[in-house]
Amino acid sequence: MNATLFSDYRLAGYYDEMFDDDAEPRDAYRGLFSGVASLGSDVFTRKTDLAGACYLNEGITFSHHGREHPFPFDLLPRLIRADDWAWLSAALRQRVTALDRFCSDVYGAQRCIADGVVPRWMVVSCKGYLREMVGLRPPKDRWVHLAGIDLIRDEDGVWRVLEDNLRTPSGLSYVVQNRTFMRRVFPEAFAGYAVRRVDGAPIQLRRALMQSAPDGVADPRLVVLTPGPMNAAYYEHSFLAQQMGVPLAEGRDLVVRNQRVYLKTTAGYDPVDVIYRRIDDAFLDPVCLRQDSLLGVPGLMGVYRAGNVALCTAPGTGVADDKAMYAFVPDIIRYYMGEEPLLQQVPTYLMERPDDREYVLDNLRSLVVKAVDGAGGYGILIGPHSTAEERAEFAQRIDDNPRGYIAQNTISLSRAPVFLGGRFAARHIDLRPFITYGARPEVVPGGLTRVALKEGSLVVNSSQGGGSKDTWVLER
Amino acid sequence: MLRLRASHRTEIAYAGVVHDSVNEVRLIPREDGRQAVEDPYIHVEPATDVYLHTDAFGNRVAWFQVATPHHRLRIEATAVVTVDPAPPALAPVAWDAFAAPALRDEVGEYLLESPRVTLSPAVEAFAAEVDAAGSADAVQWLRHAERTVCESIEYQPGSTTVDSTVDQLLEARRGVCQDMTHLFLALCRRRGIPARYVSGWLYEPERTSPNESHAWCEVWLPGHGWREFDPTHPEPRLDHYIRVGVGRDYSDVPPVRGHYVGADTQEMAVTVEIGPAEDPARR
Amino acid sequence: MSAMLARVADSLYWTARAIERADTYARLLEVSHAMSRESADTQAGDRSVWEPLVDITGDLEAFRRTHVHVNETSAVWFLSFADENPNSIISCITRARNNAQSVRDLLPTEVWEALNTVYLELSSWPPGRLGRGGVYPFSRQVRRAVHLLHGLVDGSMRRDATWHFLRLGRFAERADKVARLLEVKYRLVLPEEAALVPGTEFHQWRSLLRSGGADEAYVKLATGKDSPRELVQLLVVDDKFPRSIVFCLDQIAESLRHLVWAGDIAEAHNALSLVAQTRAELSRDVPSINGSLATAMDHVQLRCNQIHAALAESCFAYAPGYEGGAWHAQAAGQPQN
Repeated sequence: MNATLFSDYRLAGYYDEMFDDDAEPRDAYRGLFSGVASLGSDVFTRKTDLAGACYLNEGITFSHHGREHPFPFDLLPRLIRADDWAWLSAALRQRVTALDRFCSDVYGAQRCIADGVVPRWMVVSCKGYLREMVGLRPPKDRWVHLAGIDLIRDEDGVWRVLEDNLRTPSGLSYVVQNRTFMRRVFPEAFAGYAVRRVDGAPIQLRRALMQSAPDGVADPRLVVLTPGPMNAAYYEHSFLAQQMGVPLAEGRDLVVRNQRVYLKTTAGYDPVDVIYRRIDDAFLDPVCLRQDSLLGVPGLMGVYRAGNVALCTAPGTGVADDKAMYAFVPDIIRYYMGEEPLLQQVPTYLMERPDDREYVLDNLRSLVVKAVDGAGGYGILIGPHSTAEERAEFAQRIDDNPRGYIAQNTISLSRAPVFLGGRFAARHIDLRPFITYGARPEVVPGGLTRVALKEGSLVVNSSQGGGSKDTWVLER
Repeated sequence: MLRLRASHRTEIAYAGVVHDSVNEVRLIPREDGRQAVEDPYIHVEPATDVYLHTDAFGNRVAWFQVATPHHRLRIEATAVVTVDPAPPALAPVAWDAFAAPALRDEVGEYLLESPRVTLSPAVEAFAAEVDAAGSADAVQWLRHAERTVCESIEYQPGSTTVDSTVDQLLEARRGVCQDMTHLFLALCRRRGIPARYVSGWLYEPERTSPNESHAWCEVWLPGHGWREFDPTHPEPRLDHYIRVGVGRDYSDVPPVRGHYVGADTQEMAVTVEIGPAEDPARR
Repeated sequence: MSAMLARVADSLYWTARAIERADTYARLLEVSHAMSRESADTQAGDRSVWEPLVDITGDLEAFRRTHVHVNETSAVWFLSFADENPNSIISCITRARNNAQSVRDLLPTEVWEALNTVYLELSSWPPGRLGRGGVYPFSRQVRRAVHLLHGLVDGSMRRDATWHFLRLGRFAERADKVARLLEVKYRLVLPEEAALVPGTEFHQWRSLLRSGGADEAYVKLATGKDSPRELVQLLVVDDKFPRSIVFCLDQIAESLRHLVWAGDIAEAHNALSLVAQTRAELSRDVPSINGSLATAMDHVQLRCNQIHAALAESCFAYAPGYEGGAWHAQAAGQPQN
């Protein structure tokens, strides 16, 4: 690796996605490396600017503190070998199937509690546990229709689950658009590579949603339900609606009559069978959830209870992607699947357990502490990067509310080259693959590779200065 | 054993026309504990279909929609309820009994703060007053807490609203049964005693004014199960209490909650009538 | 594929109206500015140019709430950048852009980009520059952006419901504003009021043509007499001229019929018969200039309002906001005693 663009590149003992320990490009990356190395810094800069312009023109931005920012994109793709992907896909299908069964059980028979797999206390104390779902059976008993599972690779390149996202995970639009812009501004990178296509992802999602329609509906009518243009992810809502060819509705566009949901169209009321909803559980229906919600549809839960509409993802799946429940997922997989979990997790300490708590409070410097209901990289203490003051604050918070926090070993996320300031520099990355689940779980062949742009940072969330890379799953 | 016929009527008049009214009502007495229920019935005007389901706490919930324009809404719930005589008096319960880890797995949700029962600094300060007396066992403490709430808070209808918080109650020291119940729940949960909210109706044969909705508490006592406490009427006459809904606090068991489109609400009247039911043999 | 969301149709309609309104006001500003340059007497200019300009927009009352005098500075500001004026050009463009954002999935990317671009460009104008000589570049920028938008809409969109709702908005707005323009200008040049604007009658008529974007079409048609009669003919009843009232009415009727035929709306009986009635009234009465033009145009504006209401009834009756009534929590007070 001595091309100019990589002249400052250092491995520094981390697992690098592109280079092996001898600083040679890994087999899969060889073609890409020689292609990129032959480009000058100015060419790569120009291409990067062009990609940025693509995002701005499309209006692909995220809101942060009330301002719109383009989503930073790195042009060097992240590669996943076909055999790695085959294994990962099986592992993800196993995990999502188990989590879906868990939701069904928790709100139904609660066998997992009776059999001692998950303590009842963990369930009832969970913020995402939605009591309105108790005893309610969604159409086809399907709960998780789209999951985004955050994966990392540790020092040895071993894949581990960092967290599960079952409640309306976002990012699928970036998966599709990253590839579109990649092909537009850097087509020569694809030379010699057979890359699995991702542009079918919205159709794959639509198929899963249609398959989850109430029984007996021949030609289900689907809508995307959005909180509206003020929402940070509105671009994605509108993109997915357009790509799936279905209406993008707000709560006020829907109305309940005779235990059915209808769309208010120019020609009158039009029945709706499946709602891909991107509004949070609490706002779905002011009749039985948050009364001050102006985003939902009054009476929606009544229709849902009657089995006349599918809500995707089902309300209440927050019980399964809670960060403390995460510690129980390996057992959940063993219990429902009757097999060993394929994916490793990150060793996790529950602050509820006195022994765990004592260990964590003594070792805050080397651990990562997370609020169980935090998201977007907020409510996190990264021990090795923290100040004494921050550690004292988290110690206090843990004491006040042990159920509200977990701690994990600090994992050194794998790194990949990212083009910054005219050169490639190594940055930590993760991977969010998406799994749709209708009749059966299917993994979108690609995913969102998120990049921590700040040197040394382990936080990849876009709200915290993260960017993304196109993710290539290779055909062979 | 008392056999009572209860009816609960809610009448709402709007200032103008309203439509798309969707409601959930919890007005059917529970069939557990010391209660048996016959002929529960919900009637709505304007006439519409009523759908029943059971919520996470085992309460019966009726759901209905009145989509068409209307000016008034009337919801009437009736049932015949048989209430067993009061259970035997409580034996002392040691504080240790609440430390057992199994308690959290049995009734953990009633140990946590809930939307209307929060452990604020004002609650802490009031709890210190209650605890100052000291107590050998939990039952003694509960009776003392029940009386302290009753004596510290002036019962005054209209002094609070349905949305008032415990902090507002402690500030004004005036309130109704709902507020006093929330305060009592906070005191219990702070001490690690599982406690839940009960909404229901009180049979007061000697009362000349109309009966009213009532709220009180149930406390989980290891070895006894759920037992009633009523900070509004300490040491209550239990066979006169009809239990309709239980939950973590009021927000889990509002008798009527819903949503509609159109004019403001002009007037709402709630009437509860409870009297001895005629003998089933004579029907 | 079933019918479009009523809210979305409503958004499209108002997006197009806002774009058309911005275009109209940009033209008015430009012509008024040129006229005021030709008038030596500033005070007379204020009364003959700027006051009628604000009057034409129908916002004179709102204007007087925040301004004492109508003069060049206040009128130009009020119509261009005033946030407090919901019909200022910047307000119209902002509203169109925000509406379009909520229906982005239906619009071609280029249409959204063009609208977003003009919004961003206008937002970055230092308002102070609109004084001496700034009106023309400003107006031209708005007009060009609107032309680009029309070109993209007409050149790249399928003639489906989306396109028809945009067309309804554009022509409903245009018909109304042409009638308003004629009414106000005609009132101003009535013989008994002519003393107020000595020697400006001809000037006024030509400016009116320019305001309506009809100057060049008129020159091609004109017999050389510069008669108000031919001018009114062109702006009101010429069914081949895209800025005439009758042309606008025909477009509205055509879109409504298409929407009904395609099943996008259930019926448009009231709107269609109003359009037909208005058209008949116009061909009968207007070409004879007999002192009643202002009245006739007043009547056309009334008809435009009725057509809008009927059209909304046919197309947007189910949209949130049209059904009326606020959301309430039921039985918010049932404290337990």
